[in-house]
Amino acid sequence: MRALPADLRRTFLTPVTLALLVVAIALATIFSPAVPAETTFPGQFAVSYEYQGGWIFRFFVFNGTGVPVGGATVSASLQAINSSTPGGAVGFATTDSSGFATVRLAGNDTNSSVQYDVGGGGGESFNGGSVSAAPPGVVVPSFGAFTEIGGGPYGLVPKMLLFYPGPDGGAPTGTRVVIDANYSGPESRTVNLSSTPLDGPTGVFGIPPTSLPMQASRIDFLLIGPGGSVLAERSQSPSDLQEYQYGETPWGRQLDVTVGLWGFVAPLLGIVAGYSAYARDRSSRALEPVLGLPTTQLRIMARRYLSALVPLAVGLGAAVLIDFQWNHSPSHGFAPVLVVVIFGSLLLEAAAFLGLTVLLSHLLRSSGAVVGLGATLTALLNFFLVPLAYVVAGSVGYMPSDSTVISLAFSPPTHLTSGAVTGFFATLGSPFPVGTSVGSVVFVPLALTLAIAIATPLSAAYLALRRD
Amino acid sequence: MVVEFSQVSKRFWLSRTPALRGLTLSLRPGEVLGLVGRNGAGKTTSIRIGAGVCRPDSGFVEVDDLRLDADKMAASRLLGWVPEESTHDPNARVMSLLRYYASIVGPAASGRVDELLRRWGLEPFRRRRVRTLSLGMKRRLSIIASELTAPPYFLLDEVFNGLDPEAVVSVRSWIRSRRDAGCGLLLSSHNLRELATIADRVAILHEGRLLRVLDPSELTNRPSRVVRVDVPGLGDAGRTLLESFGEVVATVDGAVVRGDHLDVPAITRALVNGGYAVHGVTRENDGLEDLFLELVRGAS
Repeated sequence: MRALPADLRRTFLTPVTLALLVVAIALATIFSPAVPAETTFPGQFAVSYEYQGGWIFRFFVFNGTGVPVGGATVSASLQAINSSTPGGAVGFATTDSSGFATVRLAGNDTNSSVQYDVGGGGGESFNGGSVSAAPPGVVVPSFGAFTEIGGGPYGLVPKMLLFYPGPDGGAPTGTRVVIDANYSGPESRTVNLSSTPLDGPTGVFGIPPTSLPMQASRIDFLLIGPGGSVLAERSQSPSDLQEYQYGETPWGRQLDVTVGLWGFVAPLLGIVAGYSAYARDRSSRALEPVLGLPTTQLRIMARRYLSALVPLAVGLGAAVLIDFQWNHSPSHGFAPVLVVVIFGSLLLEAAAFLGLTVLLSHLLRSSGAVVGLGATLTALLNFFLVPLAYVVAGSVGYMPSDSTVISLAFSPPTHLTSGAVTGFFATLGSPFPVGTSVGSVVFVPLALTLAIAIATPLSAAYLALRRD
Repeated sequence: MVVEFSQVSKRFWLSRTPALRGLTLSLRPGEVLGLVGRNGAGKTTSIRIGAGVCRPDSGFVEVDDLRLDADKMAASRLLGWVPEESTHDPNARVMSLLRYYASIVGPAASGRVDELLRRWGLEPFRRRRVRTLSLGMKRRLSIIASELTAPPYFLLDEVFNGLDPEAVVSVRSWIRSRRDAGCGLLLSSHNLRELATIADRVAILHEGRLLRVLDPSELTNRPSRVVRVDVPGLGDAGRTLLESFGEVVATVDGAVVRGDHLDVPAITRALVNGGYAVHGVTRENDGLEDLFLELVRGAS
């Protein structure tokens, strides 16, 4: 690899590579969307209360992916209804590193109206309705017991965060979370999918994608108390399940645009880099004089492959930095590690198509054909997968299911969509293991892309050793 | 110390006929080994396999006991390859291309680039792009690339093709200087007369097979079968007269007579007696060409 710097210099200084860098930076600059002003509130919250001669409100504050938010200001205010709290009562607290905060208010009024505020002036505010003095030891979920934190982008698999502390903030006993599927129509019925006891004040609940019932009109998440009563409930229809919470945030929207664009552009850049570093020279036989020197076919290929990766990394790195760091200063709710994850994902995708170009160079004589086929494949995977699925399935007498079509439309198998990237990010702080809801949605495209990125140069190396 | 082709066979993908069938050949130090054959006989394939640019299906090439397939890096240091066709990156500049090649060869080669550019007269063209060079300049560029490792063996594929007379002279003198320096050179060519003047031995390839390797005595001692007759205005009658000696081919200034045991005084006498103005009757040394045709026709 002594000659790698020379190969790098050679690849870097070709007009095609320089054009690649210019295009990457120009696209990043032109298509970087303006980020709407964000509120100072960093996330969402849930509240429950109990009555022990006074009101105890327990808050849990978390961001869009369910990660606890510490240092947020919360308040609960009661409006006076009778004389026990003349003028009303307001209590404040700040969440700890686990996202928990407790506000205690004196008074014995029942049916008082309550107002919750989180995050100060620009934050969330919610009218909690009325509070009723429950018997001691009974905790009442007041707001946001179940919150959807995204089960994967555009995925059909819901993922719910539950907040329900036991008495005194400890673990609730005798409670469980039940997930049911409901079918409407003439054969309406309810099918239980899971029942999980609660072992702490928070928990994440979802359905593995393989368990998601087809044709179900509604999925119910139920918090069942010790006596079998329903303490809290959240229902979602399949269309709701397609919502992606992260995409609701300004950064999420930008991410959708950026990664959506680059999910298509990155493979094209990989193809262009592969053309510049390898395909062009191979088709014009310019590698032959090099092979006549003291080196091997494999070393030439490895050096050229690595020398193409560098401009790709530079171009994509510049694009991601322009989009997320220079054009708009990072704000809360957006983790810096996400920049690295997006960059890594795009580079992986570009590398997969770089490898494909190197492989095709060993199968086709014309570098134009190599580029054309690679670009066609990229477009096919991005835009024509659904019609292709209909054609292929129809040719063998099947119709693809709705979930298959939606999955293909929004998550091409080899392309890292914003969903895959942010979903991967979500797993970093998620208790979901690989293979359950988030895991499989995210890791399938990641694994496929990684497999292509590894398999294509290896196949090219095999062909290089077997054929001239 | 030798370059040895051992039972080398090669069939290209989708090709019906093999390009090489069990070629066994040795190139020794201090000799020019000519390689002749018809188009498609396997000359270029042999040289490309010898240079490690193309892999044989079976058999192997050894350079000073180093197997080319097993130890390409070390073996290639002992070989310089000059291809017939320039396939250098056409967009690269001469100097940057040679520096790139030198970076692969090693630090010693980088120091040799300037000297080689001067020696081969490419110094003024160092900033020119390869695509703007003439055929002769590209050939010189290939020779410089082959000399970067200062190898003891050279594999030269049709190096005289397309060169102007001045370039032919300089390449020929370079070949001789390398041989005198103890290098072994395998030289493929269609120009049998050129080869006859420069080669120490000649290997004849036909349809991928080695027909024969001619040694120096066979090249020099073989009687010529060609006599050139320089008689302006020879005409049909004169050619008919010459047909009694052998096969006659008309030329601008007379004719060429081809045949066994040609008697130059008898031909001269016949022409003078016929009343022709004889400017010259000379025996041409076409032994190699004749032998080549004889062997190839026999093999066909």
